Amino acid sequence: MKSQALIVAGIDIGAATAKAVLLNGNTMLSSCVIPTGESVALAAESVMRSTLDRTDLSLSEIDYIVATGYGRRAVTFAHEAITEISCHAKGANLLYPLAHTVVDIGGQDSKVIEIDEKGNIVNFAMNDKCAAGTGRFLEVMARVLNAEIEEIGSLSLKGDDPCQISNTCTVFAESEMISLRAEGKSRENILAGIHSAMAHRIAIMGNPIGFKSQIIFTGGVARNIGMKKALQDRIGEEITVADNPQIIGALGAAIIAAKKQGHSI
Amino acid sequence: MTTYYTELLTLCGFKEDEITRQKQRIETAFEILQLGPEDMKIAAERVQNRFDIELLGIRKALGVWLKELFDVVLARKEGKKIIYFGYPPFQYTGLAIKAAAKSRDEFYVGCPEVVFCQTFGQIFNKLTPILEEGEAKGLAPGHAMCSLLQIKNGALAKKMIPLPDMSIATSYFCDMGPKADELMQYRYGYPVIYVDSCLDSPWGEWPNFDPERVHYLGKQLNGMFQSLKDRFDIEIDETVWKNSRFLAGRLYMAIDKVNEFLTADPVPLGVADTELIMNFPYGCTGIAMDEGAEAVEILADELKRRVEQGIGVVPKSAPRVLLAFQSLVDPVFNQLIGEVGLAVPATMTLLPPPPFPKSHPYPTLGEKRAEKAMFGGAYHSSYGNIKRIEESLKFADVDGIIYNYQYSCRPLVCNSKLLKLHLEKETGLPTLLLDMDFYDDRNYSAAALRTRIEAFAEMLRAKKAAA
Repeated sequence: MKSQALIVAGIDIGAATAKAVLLNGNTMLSSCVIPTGESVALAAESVMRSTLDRTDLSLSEIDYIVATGYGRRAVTFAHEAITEISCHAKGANLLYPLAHTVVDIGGQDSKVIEIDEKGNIVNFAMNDKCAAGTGRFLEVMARVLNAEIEEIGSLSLKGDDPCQISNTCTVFAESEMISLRAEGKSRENILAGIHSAMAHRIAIMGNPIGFKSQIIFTGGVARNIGMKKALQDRIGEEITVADNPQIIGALGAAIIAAKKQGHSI
Repeated sequence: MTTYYTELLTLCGFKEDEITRQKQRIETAFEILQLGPEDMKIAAERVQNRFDIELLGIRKALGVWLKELFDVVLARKEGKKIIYFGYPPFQYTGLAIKAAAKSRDEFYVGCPEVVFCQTFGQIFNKLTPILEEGEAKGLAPGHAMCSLLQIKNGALAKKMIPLPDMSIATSYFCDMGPKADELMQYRYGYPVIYVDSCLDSPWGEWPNFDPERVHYLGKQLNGMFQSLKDRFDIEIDETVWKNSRFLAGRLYMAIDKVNEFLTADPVPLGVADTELIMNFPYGCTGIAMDEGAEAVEILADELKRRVEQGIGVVPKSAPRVLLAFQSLVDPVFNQLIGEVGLAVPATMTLLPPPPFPKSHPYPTLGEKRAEKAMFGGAYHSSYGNIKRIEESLKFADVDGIIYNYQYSCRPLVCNSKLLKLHLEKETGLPTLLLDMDFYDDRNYSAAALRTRIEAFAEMLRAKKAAA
């Protein structure tokens, strides 16, 4: 068993953002989120550098690094790559020991993960080929409505007559929205319809897994308050948005890194 | 003399004198198929990177598929009568035609789209232009049509394969084949025998079934036998049917041996390589029955040595999964399973069939074959299919199931969720559903599937460690 001086890192290279977390024992030394941009490899280096810059540490002082996210295999300086499904499970379990379900909606993937009391995966479901039900879906819709991605959640909550929108295809939904705009529907009602459609999609995907309490919402889309409400309405259960939900995958990767070095957090 | 195809064919187990002897056939076939030096270079690289060519059995299996390709392409030029059948084929129908023929070379009987999957897909990685031609000629993308049928349509449209004298279209498993054959009959004018059936039995009925189903499918099969007699003067009776089984006997025995070695820990062969031999009985009735059998026998001996030496394609004690299906065209997907550290000792095609109970006294050959097919499960119903897997799993030592289904296949896609629910409840084995396409790698990304398979492997490893 190593001493408490063990320094580990988790790095999560997602489709939209790259995240990193540095841990020393149970203490989070620093974390950072940056846009992934065009190069996964450069994003990995950049987010690690920015995370280290917030401490007095250098890369060589990190004992073990686990990479996760869709770009995990491109992180050349990581010791190991683990899927984001395992990492979100571990990260959510650390912060919320009573969690049994993790709903992770990221830039290009969405997942519903059933976990046990140790943060191990019991079952999971993940969106198939299509972007419907992911952060990308919301990005496209925000662009069509000339809205900022950060404001669409709160705008959706102001809708009093949500529009019916297709949940099966981002492209179909986009053209549907253009028609709704032409019909004079308000942005708020269109956005309420979009959030409801996406929540329906996630519910369908997760139903075979079951949404067992406590349900933790992670990933970039968890910052969208409209999506939290839409999901709660659809699932009929209370949902807890994880504290700093974007870094839960990176946190889980760091926890796994510590475990690989003989430390349990 | 070295030619532009020598390297590839040598990698695929051809002997030098064989290449020389068959030079004209090979070059004519490649010309018809529009495969040139650049294609051979790409294929040689792919074969070296994607298959276990340290094993002579695997090299020869690749070669058998190329020979099957030459045989179908040249069948008309070589004066053979040509009969195509659909996939999955009905037991030994193709072999029965061969067994009833006056001579071994009288007929080419096979499933050309499977041969194209194995060659244009697995070896040349050049199926897309054929699929696109199939789409352009009536089987449009997005119409929920099986890509396997697009391949057949495309190969016919591009005149890569000859028009058949007869095609056998069967709907005992899926109705898409006959629908596509109707289109191809209309477009190309070849005759088709339609073998109709239905798949609608109540949940819980299998292994029992309404005798009317047997009578109906039996009548359809008897009609097929009669049509073959009328058209080609070949008589398929009980004796011929029995003889047809001997044609494939050596191949099946060799495959059984390979299956036995696949149950070892560590598993000695990867999915990309097992796939190469498992479709011999489903796509071919020709050279695969003898040269294919020889390749599988060589492979079995090589695997025996690997097992004795403890050599595996994944570490010992790796999580073991039943993989429902292999991709027929994409070694990248097939390799992925091993790359994430999962051992595959069994696939659906390798699971032993349930023991056949005492037969009912059906009077005709068609009904007898229909009864047996119905009992096999897959042609019975969703329940029959799922229950048959559940029964067979009792004999498979696995930690989980990957049920990868053809997204455009109604019989497979409709019951996938049901299968997961039922098998997880009844067997306790975690089951991963994967939406993919076995015949068209444009319809999924192996990289996107990787996260699911890798997470499943991580989950199984954690469960094993905790146990």
